Amino acid sequence: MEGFVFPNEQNVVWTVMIVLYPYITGLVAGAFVVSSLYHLFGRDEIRPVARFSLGAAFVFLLFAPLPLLVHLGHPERAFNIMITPNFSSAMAGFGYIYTAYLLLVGIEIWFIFRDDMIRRADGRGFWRLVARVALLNDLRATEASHATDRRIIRFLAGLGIPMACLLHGYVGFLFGSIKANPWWSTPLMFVIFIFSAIVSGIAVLIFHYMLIARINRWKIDQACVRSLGRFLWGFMIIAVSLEVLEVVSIAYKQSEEWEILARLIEDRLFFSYIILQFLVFSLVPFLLLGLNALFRFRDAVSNAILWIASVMLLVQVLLMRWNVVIGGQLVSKSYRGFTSYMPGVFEREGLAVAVVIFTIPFGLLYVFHRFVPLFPPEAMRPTTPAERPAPSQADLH
Amino acid sequence: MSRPPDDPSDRRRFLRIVVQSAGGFFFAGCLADAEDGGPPAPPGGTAYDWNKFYWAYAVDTDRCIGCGSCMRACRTENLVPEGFYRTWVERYEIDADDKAHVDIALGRSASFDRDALPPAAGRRKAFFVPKLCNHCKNSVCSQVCPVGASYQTKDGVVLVDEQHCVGCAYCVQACPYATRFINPHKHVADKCTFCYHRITVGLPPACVLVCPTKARMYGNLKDRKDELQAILHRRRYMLLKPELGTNPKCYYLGLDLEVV
Amino acid sequence: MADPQNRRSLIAFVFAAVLLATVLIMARADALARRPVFGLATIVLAAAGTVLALAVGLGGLLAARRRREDLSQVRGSWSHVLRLGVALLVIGGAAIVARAALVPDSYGAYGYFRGDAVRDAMVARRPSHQGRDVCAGCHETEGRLHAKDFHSGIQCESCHGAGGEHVASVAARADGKTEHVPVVVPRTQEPCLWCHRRLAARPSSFPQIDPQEHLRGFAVADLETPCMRCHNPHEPLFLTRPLREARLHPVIQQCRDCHAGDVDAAAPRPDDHPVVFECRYCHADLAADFAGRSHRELPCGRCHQAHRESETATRIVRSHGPEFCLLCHRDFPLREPVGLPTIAWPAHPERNPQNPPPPLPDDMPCIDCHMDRIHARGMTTAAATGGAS
Repeated sequence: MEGFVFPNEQNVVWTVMIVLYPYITGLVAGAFVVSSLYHLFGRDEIRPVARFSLGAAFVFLLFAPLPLLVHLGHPERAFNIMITPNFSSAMAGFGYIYTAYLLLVGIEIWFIFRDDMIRRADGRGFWRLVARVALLNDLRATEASHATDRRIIRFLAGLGIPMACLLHGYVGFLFGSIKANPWWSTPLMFVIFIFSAIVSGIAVLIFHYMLIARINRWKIDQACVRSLGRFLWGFMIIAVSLEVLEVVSIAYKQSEEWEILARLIEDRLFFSYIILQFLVFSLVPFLLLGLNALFRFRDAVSNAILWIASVMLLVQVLLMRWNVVIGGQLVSKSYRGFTSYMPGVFEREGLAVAVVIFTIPFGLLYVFHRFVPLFPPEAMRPTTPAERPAPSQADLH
Repeated sequence: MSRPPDDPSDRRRFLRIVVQSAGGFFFAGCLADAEDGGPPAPPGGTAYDWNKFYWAYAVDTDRCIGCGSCMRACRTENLVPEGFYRTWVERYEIDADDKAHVDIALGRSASFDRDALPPAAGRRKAFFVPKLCNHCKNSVCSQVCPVGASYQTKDGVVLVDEQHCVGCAYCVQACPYATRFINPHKHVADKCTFCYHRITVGLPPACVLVCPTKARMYGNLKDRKDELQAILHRRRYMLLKPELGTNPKCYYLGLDLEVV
Repeated sequence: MADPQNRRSLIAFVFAAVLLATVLIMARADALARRPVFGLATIVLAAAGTVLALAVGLGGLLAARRRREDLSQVRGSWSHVLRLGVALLVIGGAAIVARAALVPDSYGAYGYFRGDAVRDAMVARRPSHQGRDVCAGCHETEGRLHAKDFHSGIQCESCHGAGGEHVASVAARADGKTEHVPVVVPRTQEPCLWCHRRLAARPSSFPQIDPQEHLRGFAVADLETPCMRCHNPHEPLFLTRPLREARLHPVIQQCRDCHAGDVDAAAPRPDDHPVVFECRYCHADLAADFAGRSHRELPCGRCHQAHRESETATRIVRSHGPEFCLLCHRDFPLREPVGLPTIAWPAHPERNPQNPPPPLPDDMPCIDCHMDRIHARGMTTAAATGGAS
């Protein structure tokens, strides 16, 4: 603690859980946008990760509310937000926006994976039961039904983009509309959150796809990852520009709050904001991706660059969430001092729980893959086809 | 509530569910058990008509001596958990360079035991400012509560429904005056209630009662003869952070520019 | 929708929608009105009609679908979509009804919140602070003494703390089991210093002391001596009038030194007490010296007016810069001349250009130079004790 803070400000009330929540929904929104690039915008080179991205969006979406539940003082009353939503509050939309989006992604997945599920339903064992329940015991699939499915998928992919913006932009709006907090209160927050979400979504797909391909010795689809790399570069430029624009405009206007925000940036957040978020984890990926987009490297080099840049951008977005959520709470509403915050490891809202919550979706993604393949057959070809037999669905690990 | 014993409440309840299922949120208040939209009655048979009251608070900073009686009284009256404050007294000391030094006497005794600045600092001005919930007319906290657990009563008091609050702390973030906190035992938002259990039975809030210099005042803006109104008509006053448009109902007499 | 069966369904649906809107409007109107206009029976009837019309419409649609079943091999591409849709509708409908059922009954009665919460807040707890009248109901003597004291405007509970538990324990004492909960102020300096410790931020007109300075001024060795040793907390006689007019000494006299028995509620306030002492009883040489100087017309209390730490120990005028003397001697531009020598502070008139005084600090007390106009210094401890009778 430093300077004067109001007596009730000595505890930071929105902890690392609230850092994690927008991070996870950002991954959802970003991954969904990638899947829509294929399903809606006809970027065919993205086909190898199109289903995977939708699957990733779905499992991350399932776990997005978990950090919120851990954070709530009364998680058992969580449904109050849907029973009595107070629509003068931005937060009241959460229950319905989230549910609508979960339904949308779930329905789109249902149509996309319908054929695979039908195959499962014809098999035996546990997955047969799951597939039959999921399919509502309707196992018919014809040319005509496929045509219907394609139309519905395109429609849902289109509808999903504004929904993704709504779900994630709403989180930015939630922060940006708090007039009491000088670090949050900017209409740019909405846009920044959307673009950083897309960046993190593309990055997590590149990171995860390459990791899985590496572990399973699949051949990485170069056209796909190069295209994703270019998208990543483009979106990160927009996202980082907006992030810089936000702070530059406050600084240039020299408003009343700049005095305390300057101290926040120069002192409290200097390391995590200036050094890490901008100088290391924005500048380096920007250069790496730029090089990769402008010059033609060997596949191995290009892939290494992409993978490193993706990991760094994943960290960058996490840092950005941290600096927004925690940074904003460090500033006292008296504008005269700062409080401090460092999460514990083994407390309820501590780092261990955060890591567990963030890891579960990856595990669930594996289970998902065991049920229906997340990658099209051509993406699961081994590097040297002669040495290995045709891949089965079970050798993800 | 004065519900007649033969009220077909089950039928009403069923109908309410039917109507709300069909009509959604627009009909949230439909067929609620409010008798003619009248006010709820306080306990003990006391007559309290909340339509006749609109509570406001005033602080005369010139009179505050920083004794901390209000903080001690609030803690015992409202069982405020240790380490959190529904009201507090800030001390401002302005040094020779016109820089303000602000502090608060925390802890159980809530008593300042020495000056903040040494004599060498060349103190120009020093004063106390009590703070509490402003019970804003346009309160951000009740605006942002996602479940309607933070609300404003008809008589102008901002309250928290402890049985409905989910503990998301959005209101804590939104309050520009940092008067809210999450109660560490109940895990819900907690704040000054204007001593609602006292004012509705005709007693003054505990902090007003014990203030030895009458620096804290409260009154009813709907009563033309109310003393507080007379003071507000006579004296010049200021609000905290008026630029945020919250329209506080806590009026500060003699407020210094340094106070935020 | 060319199929006549379908047209019939369509009409049924429109009818249902109109009925539903009617139900909603009637229910809303009844909820807003002081007395039900339409009444429960009408609304239930209309609601039932809505359900009936919906059922007719749905039945028609299902019948039409069954007739088309043979064609499902060709046009069945939507069958799985329909199945999904029905499943979602069932779930959604259940969720809507569940939501409505879970809304607390009083929700929205007075606004978008649980109406019963208002009453909950009223009964959240019993008032713990009782107020002076409750205290005086049992502690009659203290109550009457206190009513005459300078502290009379202050609540008992400002010093003693909330009396709720104390009162409850006394009320329950009849059962012989309940422990008595006292509300005793600790016999230390601290409770008095909550208000009276000298702090720069306190208004200067408020009486405040530095306890160590205060005790040293009276040559008290133990610097932890509780204030209550000399000052009876319930009758400290901090007089509202200047000392000399009031004729009671703030520390030495206490009501019950002379008045035996209970306090008479009808007795005058100490301010109006007849003469008990004159300053000169103790400060004879100072009074004699004062009588020979220019301020001799003034009563002692004009300067030594309220009970302040600085008055008894270190002199008010010394601790407050020039402001005190300027109360009378300041030259205000628009004020009528009062026949006193005045100066336009901070401009100090140079009466003697040959021998100008050095530049003066703004906060220098006037009496540092002008004490000769008032009375000699250092004659204040003539008889700090005695003289009470």
